[in-house]
Amino acid sequence: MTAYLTWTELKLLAREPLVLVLSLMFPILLMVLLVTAFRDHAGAVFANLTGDVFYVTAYLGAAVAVMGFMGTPTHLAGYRESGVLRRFRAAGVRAPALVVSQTAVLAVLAVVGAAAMIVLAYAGFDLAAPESIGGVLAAFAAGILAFAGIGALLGSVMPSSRAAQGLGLLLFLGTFLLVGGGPPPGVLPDLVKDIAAWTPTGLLIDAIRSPWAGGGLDGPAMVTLALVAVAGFTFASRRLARS
Amino acid sequence: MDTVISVEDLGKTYGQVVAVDDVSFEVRRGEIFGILGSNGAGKTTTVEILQGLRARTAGRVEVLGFDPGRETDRLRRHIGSQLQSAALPDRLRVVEAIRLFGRLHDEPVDVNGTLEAWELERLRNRPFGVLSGGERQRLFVALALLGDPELVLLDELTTGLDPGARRVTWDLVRRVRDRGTTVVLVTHFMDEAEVLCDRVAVMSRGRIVACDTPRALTARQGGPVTITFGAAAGHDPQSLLALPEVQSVTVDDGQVTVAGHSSAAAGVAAALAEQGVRPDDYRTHYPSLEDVFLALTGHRLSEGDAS
Repeated sequence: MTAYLTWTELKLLAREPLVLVLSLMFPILLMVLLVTAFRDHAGAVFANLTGDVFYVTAYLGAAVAVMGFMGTPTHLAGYRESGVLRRFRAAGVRAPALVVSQTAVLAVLAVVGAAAMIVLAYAGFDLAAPESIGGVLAAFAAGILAFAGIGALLGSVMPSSRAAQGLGLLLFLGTFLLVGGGPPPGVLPDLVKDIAAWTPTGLLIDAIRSPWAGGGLDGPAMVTLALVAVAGFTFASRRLARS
Repeated sequence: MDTVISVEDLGKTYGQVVAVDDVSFEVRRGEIFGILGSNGAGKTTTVEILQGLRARTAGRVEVLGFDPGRETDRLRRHIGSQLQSAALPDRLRVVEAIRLFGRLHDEPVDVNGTLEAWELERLRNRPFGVLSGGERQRLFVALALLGDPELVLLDELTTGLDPGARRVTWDLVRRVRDRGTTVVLVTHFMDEAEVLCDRVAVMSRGRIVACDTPRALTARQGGPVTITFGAAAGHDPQSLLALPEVQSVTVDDGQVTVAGHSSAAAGVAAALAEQGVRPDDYRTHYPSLEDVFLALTGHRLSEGDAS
């Protein structure tokens, strides 16, 4: 059942190519803009990275975060609003199956977005390869799981898709703009930086940057992302089984 | 006769609001059991408790031998359900919906057979979002019956349908019963309950106020049969009071109204024929479930029940 539901959700996603394009276009365009502007910059203000690595890694995280904060919650809340969740529940579709299928959708969208960014960055800006591809992939995967958990949890509590979209936008911009989506965090006050670094978005971007720059896996960030994933899946499944 | 659903002293409260209050009834195998009431009467809450979608706050419920509150997953394998205001993803096609829901059953589902049986073949690749109300209900009934459940719960199946589509849907429900499936039908349409149901529970303000066959309910609670016809010259309508089944005779503006027991319609017709009176506007009005509902609840079904 879980596999078939996942397959069905992916087919439904493929029938809405506009959703895919629109949700990924904004971060991709911003990444290109910022990499163009700051590729020759480097230093402490860019977390001791070059400007292009700083922004490419930030926006790889954004491709995941935007889906977890906005895509999945809006989709699930829409299902609740229109009665799809009730229909599934009455027929005996189990909540974990629903969460897994949403995770697969998020993973596909995030991978497509990240692949587009990487291709653009390599082809257009001659970006250097990460020091540890495996480490970056592991961080990206942990991020997908953590944000799938967050997305499912938000989707399980939000009453409507509009509410989910509003809150999602706030959470996404509120965290992402502070951890590298906008001004380099180096120019922000220390307190704001410290708080932002421990948001899921901050943790994910740190987890991607560390192996990319040769620092190995960022243990605390990876563990925290895994814990966020477990908590998100658990609470979302419980909540979806009752709502 | 074997009991499929047994409900005793069921109660459901939301904070201070009592949605279902001390409800008891039984549903027998193979019947169409109606739960009739206006909006807010507690019908949907009751059927949602029956299928484990809501937790009860009081009472005992057994559905096919399972407690819906504790054995929800096991129960769901034996029941089919069509919910009020439920939907499917707009872009999900009819055939995909049948395949998806078919996966929930242990035995493989005959997808083409299901499409044919419910005349969905033509709509096979149509997305849910573009189906008409009647087509959606047909799909929901088909989905509810996948895997041959012993019991189906149909909640407000014909709400929003035009009269033609409603009649077609009624035929669907009869077909379901003819397959041997027990049907619980929740409705706020009097005619639907009267036409389809073997037995009806009338709900008002969270309680069941009567439960019997439509015929027994109308005979017991529906009030007298009334007969009307135009007064004929030289005929004394009051002479009809001599008939034992006639309770009253009134004449108003040349129109005679006779009220009496159910056999009065035949008795009055025979008496008039004997007296040489043959009115061409002889009409009888038997009490309907609407009259029963009014007598039991003090309001008409269309007036709503939310308190």
